[in-house]
Amino acid sequence: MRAPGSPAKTLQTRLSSQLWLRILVSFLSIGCFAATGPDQPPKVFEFQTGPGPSVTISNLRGQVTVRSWSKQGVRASCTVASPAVEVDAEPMPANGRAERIQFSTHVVDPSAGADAATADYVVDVPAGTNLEVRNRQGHIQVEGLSGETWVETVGGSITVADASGHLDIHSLGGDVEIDRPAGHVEASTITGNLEFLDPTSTKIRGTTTSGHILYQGDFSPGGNYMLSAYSGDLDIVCPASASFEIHAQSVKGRLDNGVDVIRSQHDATPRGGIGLLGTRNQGKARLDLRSYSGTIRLRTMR
Amino acid sequence: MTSSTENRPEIPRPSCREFDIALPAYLEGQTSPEVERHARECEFCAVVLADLEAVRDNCRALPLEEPPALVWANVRAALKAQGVLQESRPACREFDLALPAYLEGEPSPEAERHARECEFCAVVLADLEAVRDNCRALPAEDPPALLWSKVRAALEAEGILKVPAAGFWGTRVPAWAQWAAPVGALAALAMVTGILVRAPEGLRHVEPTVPVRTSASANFGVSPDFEKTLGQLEQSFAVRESSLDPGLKATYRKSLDSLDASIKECRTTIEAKPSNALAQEYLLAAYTEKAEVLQSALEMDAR
Repeated sequence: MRAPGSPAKTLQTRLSSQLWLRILVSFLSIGCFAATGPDQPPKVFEFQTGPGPSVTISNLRGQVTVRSWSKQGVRASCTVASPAVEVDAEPMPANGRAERIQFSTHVVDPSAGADAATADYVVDVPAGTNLEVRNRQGHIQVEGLSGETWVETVGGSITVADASGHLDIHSLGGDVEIDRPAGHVEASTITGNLEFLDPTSTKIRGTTTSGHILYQGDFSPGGNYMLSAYSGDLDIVCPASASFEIHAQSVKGRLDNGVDVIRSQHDATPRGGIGLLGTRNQGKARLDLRSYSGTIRLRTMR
Repeated sequence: MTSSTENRPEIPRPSCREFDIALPAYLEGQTSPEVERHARECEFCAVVLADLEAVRDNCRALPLEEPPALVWANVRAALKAQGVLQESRPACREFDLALPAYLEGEPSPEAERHARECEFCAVVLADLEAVRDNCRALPAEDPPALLWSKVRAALEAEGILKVPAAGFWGTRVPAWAQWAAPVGALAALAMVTGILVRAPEGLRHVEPTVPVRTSASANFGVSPDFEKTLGQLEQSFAVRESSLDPGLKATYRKSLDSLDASIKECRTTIEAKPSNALAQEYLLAAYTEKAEVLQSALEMDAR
C-alpha cells in the first residue's frame, strides 16, 4: 500500500530525473555538435556582370538572401550544412561578363537527412538584376532590386524590401511580407499571411486562402489593388488622405468599415453576403477587396 | 463608381463562365455546340475564342524547340537527387555544358569524343537524342487545360495580359488579340518543357493505384475534364506523398486541407444559393489552386 503523499513524491522524483535527463541531452547535443563541427566554410563565387544580369537560385532548404549593391558583378557566399550537398554556379557565357548566372544546390548523398541538405545563400547583385529564386524550405529575403523578381517557396517565408521592379511572389505555406514595393506586385500564399507595407505600386494583387492580409499605406492615383482572403481577415490601414473607389464584398464575413466612404447607389452586395461599393475623396485608385468568411476591416492611420 | 474598362462585365455572366470552362476541351477538339452558340451570341467571348484558336494554330505551326539550359539543369538535378546520375568529372561537366548546343545541331567534336570515352555520358547522350527525336516525331498537341492557366499567369505576371479583378490566380482570359505570337511561343515552350521534364523513364510517376474520387462538382461549374485531371493529380500525389520530405509533406497537406475545406464550404453555399457568384468564383479558384498545388508537389523531384 502506498504511503500518503507518495504521488507527489513520485512526481518530484520524476521531475528531478527529467531535469537530469534534459541536462544530459543538452551535453550530448553540444558534444555531437562539437564532434561534427560547425557548417562547412562558405563557398564564394564572384562574377563580373553588366548592370542587369539574370540570376537564378534553386535551393532545397535554408536561407536565401539577395541584396543589391552598386558594383557590376555578382558575389555569392554559400554555406552548406554538410558534405551531403553542394552548391554549383554556372555563368553564361562561361567567360567574360556573365549575362545569366545560375546557382543551384544539389544533393550529393541522397541518403542524407533533410537538415543535412541545407544551404544558405547570401548573394550581392546589381540593382537591375532580374532574379528568380526557388527555395523549397527556408526564408527568402530580397532587398533593393529594380529588375523583375520571381520568388517561389513551398514552406518558407518571403520578405521583399524596396523593390521597384515587377514582383511575382508565391509561397504555399509561408508568410509573405513586401515592404515599400514600387512596381507591380503579384503575391499569393495558401496558408500564410500577406503584408504590404508602405507600397507605392500602382498594381497589387494579393491572395491567400487561410491567412490574413494586411495592407498598410496609401494608394497611388490610377492604381489597382485587388486583395482576396478566403477565411482570413483583410485589414486595410491607409492615411486619411487616401483617395480610392472601393468594391468590398464577402460571402459570409463581416465588413468593419472605419473609413468615410460615399456609398454608390449601385447595389454591390453579393446575394446572401455583404458588400460595399463607394468612393473616398476623389476616388483616384481602385480597391477591390474580397473574402469568403474573413472580416474586411478599413481603418485610417492615426 | 467607374466600371471595368473591359467590354465584358467584371464578374462574368454564368454563360461566359460556362464558356470559359468548356473552352479548353473545345480547343482540344471536342465538339461543343454550347461554346459555338455562346461565341455567336457574346461578342467578347467570340474574340477570345478566335484569338485562342489563332494561338493554338500558331502553336502547331511552331517548330519544336529545345528547352532552355535551365531545364537541362533541372533534369540533371533530378537525376542526381535520385542517385541516377553519378557525380560528374570535369570532363563530364564540360560535356554537360556543350550538350544543349550539340543537341540543337551545333557540331562539337569534344562532345562526340567524350561520349565515345565515357560510357555514362554516352548513355545520357543516346537517351537525350532519343527524347529529342521522339519529341520531333510527336504530333503538335495542345497543352492540357492546366497549362493554359499557367500561360495566363505568366502573361499576367509580365503585364502583357490585363486581367479583370474577378477571380484570382489568373482564371480569366480577357484580351489575347495582340499577343498570339508570344502566347504561342510560351505555350510551345511550356509544352516541350513539360514533355522533357517528365521524359526520363526512371523519373516517371508510378501508375496511380488510388481510386479516382468522384463527386458532383460538374454541377458547380467545374468541367468533367478538369475534374478528371484533378483526380489524376490527386492519385499521383497520394502515391508520391510518402516519399516527400516531412516538412514539405506537412506544408502540402496543410495547403490541400485548407483548399479542400474551401471547396467543401463553397459547394455548400452554392447548393443553398446557386446564384452566389462570389462563392462560385472562390470555388473555381480553390479548384485551380488545388490543381496547382498538386502539380507543384508532383514536380518537386524534377525541379
